[in-house]
Amino acid sequence: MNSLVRQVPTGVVVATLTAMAVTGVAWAHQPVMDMAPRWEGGYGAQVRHEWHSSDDLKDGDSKVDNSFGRRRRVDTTWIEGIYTLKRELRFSFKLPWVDQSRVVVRNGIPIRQADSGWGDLILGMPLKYYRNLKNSSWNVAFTPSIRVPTGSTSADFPVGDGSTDFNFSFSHSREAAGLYQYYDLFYWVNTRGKKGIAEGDEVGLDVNLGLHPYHNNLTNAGVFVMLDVSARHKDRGVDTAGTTGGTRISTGPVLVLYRHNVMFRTEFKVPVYENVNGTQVSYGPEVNVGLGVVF
Amino acid sequence: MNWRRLLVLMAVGAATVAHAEETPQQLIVPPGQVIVQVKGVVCSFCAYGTEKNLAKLTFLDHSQFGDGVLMDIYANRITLALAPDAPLDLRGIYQAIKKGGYDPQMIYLRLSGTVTRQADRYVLRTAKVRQPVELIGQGLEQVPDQQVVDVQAHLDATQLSSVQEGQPVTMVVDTVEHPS
Repeated sequence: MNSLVRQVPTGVVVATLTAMAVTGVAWAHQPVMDMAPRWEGGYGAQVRHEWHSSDDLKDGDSKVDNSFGRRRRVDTTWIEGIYTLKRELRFSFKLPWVDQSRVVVRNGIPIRQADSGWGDLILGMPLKYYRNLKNSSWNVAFTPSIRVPTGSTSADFPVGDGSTDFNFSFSHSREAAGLYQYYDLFYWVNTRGKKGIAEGDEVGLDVNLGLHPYHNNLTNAGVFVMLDVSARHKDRGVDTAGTTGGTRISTGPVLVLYRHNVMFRTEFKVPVYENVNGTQVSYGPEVNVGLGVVF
Repeated sequence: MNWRRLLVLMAVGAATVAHAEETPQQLIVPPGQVIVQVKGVVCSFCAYGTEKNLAKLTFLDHSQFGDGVLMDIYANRITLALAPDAPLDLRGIYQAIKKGGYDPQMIYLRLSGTVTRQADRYVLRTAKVRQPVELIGQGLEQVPDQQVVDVQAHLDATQLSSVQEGQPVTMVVDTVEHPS
């Protein structure tokens, strides 16, 4: 844990504290953005930073010796926006700024590779059906998305893969004054990219279960506390470092603070199960911090 | 205290937050306010658009509740503070909430005016509502013709959705007070 804290980039901490100081409180991320903006003509934007890093080497589900010091770190800052044409139809975009590095072994020699820049743009069209009940509200959604290859593939560890990919997501969320739950089942169809990159298709399930222990009606401010469980399975594929794919389940706590139209979300997840194809560096623990606003 | 016990306590606490249901007669609308029961308003961040739409209504007293609108996510209610002299726009309230993504269930309001008996109909002349108001419900038969009254009344979602400019609005009386 101490090593994890040391590895959190100083820039992330400074940006988060700055954002909180500027907005008073804050917010962000997909599940809560899922509930807003539900109003006609509503729109929202958020900045979200994902960080994951590891120097654990895995062979299948076993940790193996990493004498060459293979490691990987990926920092992704997502710029996200959403527009609600009407309650049943939204349009969204996500554009990542990626800063990443890794150590791979070539001919028995460890080599550091790194790249940074704008990654692949994701455009989505959430189609939703809402039901408002006496003391709760729920919705189901089908979201087709496309990931277009806007990221560069020039580096050895490129921020883009040069492929156009397709996603289909089915989600359900339900909330009452004191409880929140969210389920998202999705499938990525990953097509063949450049430089021999051919990621396998990916299926995933995200579950958020949470409590809403505090809300003040007069200030419209409050707190959500949730548990996030994320499961991923990616088919065997290949990137510029070798074999990709495997199965991973991560879980961890989520804290959401909101005030009026601003929300701050932070989460910390650790892999509780990981089984990789071949020998790969572990995904590692993940920190996610976001700040969003809706209008 | 272990984690499991803490989670159980938090879940029980959240579940007991829900308010006991009140009948229309038990609900008391404070003077100068309108209360709207709204299905699904359980998250103020999610209902920000509804609040924003309502806050644009010109007949609100924007000095109260910050913007004239108070959301109670535990009771699923929105309270509107009314400006003293401006007539309220019932259709405007309905549309603001619907376009905000929610469903108005009932609206409760307090009106003062003069009741005129027309055959078996009771018509309230009041400056507070833009449309002519027809009252129905118990207790009205005790009210003399041309009597000044203070009534608390409500409209359900069907009545509220059919409000038209210039057309009479039918309201169900919850309580009626008059001097005689």
